[in-house]
Amino acid sequence: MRPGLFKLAAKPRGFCCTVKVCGRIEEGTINPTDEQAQACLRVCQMLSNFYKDIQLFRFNPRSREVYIFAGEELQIRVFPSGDWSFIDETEL
Amino acid sequence: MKPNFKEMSVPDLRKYVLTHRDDMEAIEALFHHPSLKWKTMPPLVTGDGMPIEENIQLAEEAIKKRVEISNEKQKQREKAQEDELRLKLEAEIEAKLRSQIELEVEAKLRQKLETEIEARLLQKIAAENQQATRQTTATVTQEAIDRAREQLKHDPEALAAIDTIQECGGNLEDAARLIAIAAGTEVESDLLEKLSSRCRSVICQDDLKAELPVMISAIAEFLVSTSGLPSRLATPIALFAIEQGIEDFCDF
Repeated sequence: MRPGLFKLAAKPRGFCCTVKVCGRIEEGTINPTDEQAQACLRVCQMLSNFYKDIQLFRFNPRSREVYIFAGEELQIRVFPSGDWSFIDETEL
Repeated sequence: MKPNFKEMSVPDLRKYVLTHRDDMEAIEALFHHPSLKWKTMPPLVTGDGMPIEENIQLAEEAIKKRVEISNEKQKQREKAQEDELRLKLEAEIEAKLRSQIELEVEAKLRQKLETEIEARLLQKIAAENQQATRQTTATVTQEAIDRAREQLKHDPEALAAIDTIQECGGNLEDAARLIAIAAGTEVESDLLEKLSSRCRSVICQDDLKAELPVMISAIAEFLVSTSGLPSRLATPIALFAIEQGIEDFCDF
């Protein structure tokens, strides 16, 4: 193996590789797409308009989804594509 | 040890993630729970950051509707909790009132019983006091005994009775009992009281009151003829009547 080349099989868990740059994704690293970030901002503002408290807001580095838990039972997922979804009804 | 998130319910997972905000495994379990049905909505901006008004409006309407449903559900939950609490409170109040009423009834019953017992005791004490008074008056002094002995010196039966009275220290009731027992007669309580009452008509004849020997022999005759009691009882009966005050005794 030529020097400088990556040995992918030895890649430690939690490492992200691009062509030239490798770096550890720290717990809490947030790298959303622009569409996703804009959707999050607008959805959160809409929830706020209806007096719904944002109880939990999390970026999942593994799936790159954003999870929002608001009010008593509102759950929202915002995907990197900018699509988003909410729970239509629950088993409650 | 971590709980098994896959087996937890949505409400339990919600509670858990709010206290374990960095537990991505739990958060994923909550947001990928198999019981949840998701409705997907289109993006709100284009790839170059331009707002998509149509989608934004759709989003606002969808969130508004969803929030209204959520608020309605919340109201129902609160009402259910309120109803439950009210029922619980009503049950508690009823239980407390019931025990309170039971206590009051018990207290009243106890008070009534105490009053009754007290009344009975007072009655008994009064009767005993009366008896005690009678017993003191049913005693003759040594002087009275000597006087009677002098008056009755010709009546050996009466003198024997006087001896018994002397032996009993002047207590007429005791003497009467001793005489009755010696004669084999059944002895009742308040013997002297009863006997003197029975003999009242004899004792209170005007011509008998003054003379002790006459009175005694009349009583003796009366006792023997009417009830077969020993004639010797006549002496303590007569002395008892005199000791009570013969006028008072006859005014009874």
